[in-house]
Amino acid sequence: MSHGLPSVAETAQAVRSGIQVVRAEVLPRAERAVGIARARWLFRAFRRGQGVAAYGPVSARNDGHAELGDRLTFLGGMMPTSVACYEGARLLVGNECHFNYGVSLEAWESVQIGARCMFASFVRVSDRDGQRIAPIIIEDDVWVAHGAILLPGVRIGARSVVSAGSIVSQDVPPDSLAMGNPARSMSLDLVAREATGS
Amino acid sequence: MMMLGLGPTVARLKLRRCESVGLIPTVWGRVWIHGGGEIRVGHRVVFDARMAPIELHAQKGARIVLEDDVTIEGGSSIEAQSSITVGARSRLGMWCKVLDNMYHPLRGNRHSRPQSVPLVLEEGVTVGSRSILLPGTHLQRGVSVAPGTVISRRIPAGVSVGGSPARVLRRGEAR
Amino acid sequence: MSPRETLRAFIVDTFFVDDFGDDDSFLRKGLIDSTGMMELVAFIETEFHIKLDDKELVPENLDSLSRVVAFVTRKQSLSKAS
Repeated sequence: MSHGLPSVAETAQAVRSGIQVVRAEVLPRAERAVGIARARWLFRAFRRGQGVAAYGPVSARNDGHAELGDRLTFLGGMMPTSVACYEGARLLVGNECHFNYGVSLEAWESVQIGARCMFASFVRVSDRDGQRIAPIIIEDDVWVAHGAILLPGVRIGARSVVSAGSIVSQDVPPDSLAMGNPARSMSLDLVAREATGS
Repeated sequence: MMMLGLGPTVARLKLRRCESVGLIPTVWGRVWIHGGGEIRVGHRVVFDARMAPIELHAQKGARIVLEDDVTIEGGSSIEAQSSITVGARSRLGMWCKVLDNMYHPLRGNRHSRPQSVPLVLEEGVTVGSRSILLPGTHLQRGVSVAPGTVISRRIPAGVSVGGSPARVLRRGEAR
Repeated sequence: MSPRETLRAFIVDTFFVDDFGDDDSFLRKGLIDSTGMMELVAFIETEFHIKLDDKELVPENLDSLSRVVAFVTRKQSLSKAS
């Protein structure tokens, strides 16, 4: 090539790599910035830590004492997530928790959630079920899978898993898997396989 | 074709992200297709998402196949990391969740992804609303699943199951 | 039928595994997953009329056919004694 202009192939290559950089680097950061800005607005009534991000619709309401930890993630989806803390209630959420879409988190008296918990879609956590109000405690590293319901007064032990669709009415000890309706817990040693995790 | 009006055309427009769409698709409401995988929709498939949107998520390299005459009701979500097949004349109720991956291991690093297990629903399967089909599910011909059931294993043809964990409610002949 | 045969028939029937030894670990061989384990527990309770405590759902009691059989026999004799 004698002239200084790049060839068509070179230009196309440059454009492609440019698009790739935008896709891989710029877009996720922009999304995160938008998420953090949204969360700042949505959770304006909450005491919250650094880097709380909301990527989808969230309806938040705080009339009591609600505290969110650092680096929480609220994912978006087909249903809005709702977080509500009513008058005189206490809602504490630990660091690095993840909330998928459609989660409904309600505190009428006290709900405590530890660090690094994960809540899948359509999980319902409420310390009032129409008959009684009792505090819910969820310890660290708990994973609550799709569609599970936690009833008032339960305590979920650290590193436990609440399986999809279960209804938890009794305490779940640490390192166990709760499953069924009403949920029964079994030791994670009995079922945790490395390969499929099922 | 003229008698059917604009419905199928609009439906086809709503399903434009699918790899292939069969004859006369019906879409009411919103179908949410994302992920970049391959989604194949057979003939006369009905998406009834008037109450809540339907989610079809196929990860890149994954595949969802909906065969002929499948009906999917609102709020259902089908998420494929490897492969999900829904057989002909099957019906998925509202708020169903169909997953072929657990997404998180039970213990250890919760952010690593476990292996996928392909999921198969054979012909004429009925799945009640709010059921959850976990990886490893294989519903054979004519199985009927009661609402709210959680399944992660093979169910032989013609059986109806229900409950959580799933129990066999009735054994019958495949229709 | 003896408990061993009943249990083996249930496992073969429900989980479609016919080729497993009495001492094979359900978990390590991938015979039964977590939902299946719950179904097994429910089956044991209804079939042998015993009540399993959540604390007893550990691998020492339930992780292979011979362990399950030993556990069931022990529970049955306990409930008869009381």
